[in-house]
Amino acid sequence: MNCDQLREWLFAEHLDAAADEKVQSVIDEHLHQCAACESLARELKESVSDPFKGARELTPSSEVWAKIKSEIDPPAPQVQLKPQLSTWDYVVSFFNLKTLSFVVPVFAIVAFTLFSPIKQSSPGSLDAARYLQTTFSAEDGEFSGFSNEGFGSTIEEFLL
Amino acid sequence: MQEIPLELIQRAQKGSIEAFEEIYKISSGFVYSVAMRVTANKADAEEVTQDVFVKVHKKLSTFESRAALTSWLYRVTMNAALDMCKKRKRHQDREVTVEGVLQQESVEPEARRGLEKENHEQKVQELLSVLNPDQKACVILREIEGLDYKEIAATLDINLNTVRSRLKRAREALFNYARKGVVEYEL
Repeated sequence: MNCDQLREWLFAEHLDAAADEKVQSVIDEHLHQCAACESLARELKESVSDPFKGARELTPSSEVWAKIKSEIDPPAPQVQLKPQLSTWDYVVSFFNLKTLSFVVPVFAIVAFTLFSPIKQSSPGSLDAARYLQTTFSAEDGEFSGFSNEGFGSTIEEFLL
Repeated sequence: MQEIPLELIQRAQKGSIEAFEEIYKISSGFVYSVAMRVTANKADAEEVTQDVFVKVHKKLSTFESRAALTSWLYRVTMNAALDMCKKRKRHQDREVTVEGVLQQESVEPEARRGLEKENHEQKVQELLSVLNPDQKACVILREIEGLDYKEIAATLDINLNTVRSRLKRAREALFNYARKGVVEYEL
């Protein structure tokens, strides 16, 4: 093997230790005998191969992961959830202004109907009505409720 | 690239965003680094990283093993980064310079941690800027990720001879660049 042939191997297989055993032994033998090729092999290793040996790993900025994450796991759209109401909340919401505006008048009418003083079935009010009816009834075309006893009309006496 | 636990993959397949975030934390450094080194542009590298992980999430259900996800991740990342390079080249909307790349990268807080580390990264970026995108892909997978010829061929969907010739040409270009740099420095 001459120096030119060796150079072919030096730039590839020799540097990469990719030559088979037979070829490698021929290369080693030549390098042992030829100072120029031995020097070239050393220079080649120092200038072409060694600078890459301690190459550190670079780190991407944190923004890169943020972008990846937003693409593979986009944030879920905001869904308006109905709040979980307790029984008390339902009671309070039942008595809101709208409901009250309906319930209160209805309740007032019912209460007035039930407990009104002019209720016809009441015995006291029935007597008064009969008295008034009797007193104010017309006899022979004249009103008999007036008297001359100084107390005015019968209705005035009643009221007094 | 760090190994991704199978349990994480399975949890992510069941819809766990937390598990997927863990997968991202484990592998985003690799994806972003490859993208950054191929595209030589921070915004493009971040876009590639985003695209790759959205694709990973969509395809999660199809991965039956850890190895399947890892090799797929290599392939998708490299293809996405190379596509981005071609897209930028077509549009010619800006010129990428080594200085520009270093300036953008130096914005990252991590790049400020140590001058030595920063100088080393600058050297890596500088050397890669000498190569075309296809050569870059091979050099990154071989020299930084430690893949063998067969794995590189499978990742880039090219044959073994193409891997060998791309690596050889890339190294010739790097060697000439290094020698030229030394000469210029000495002069």
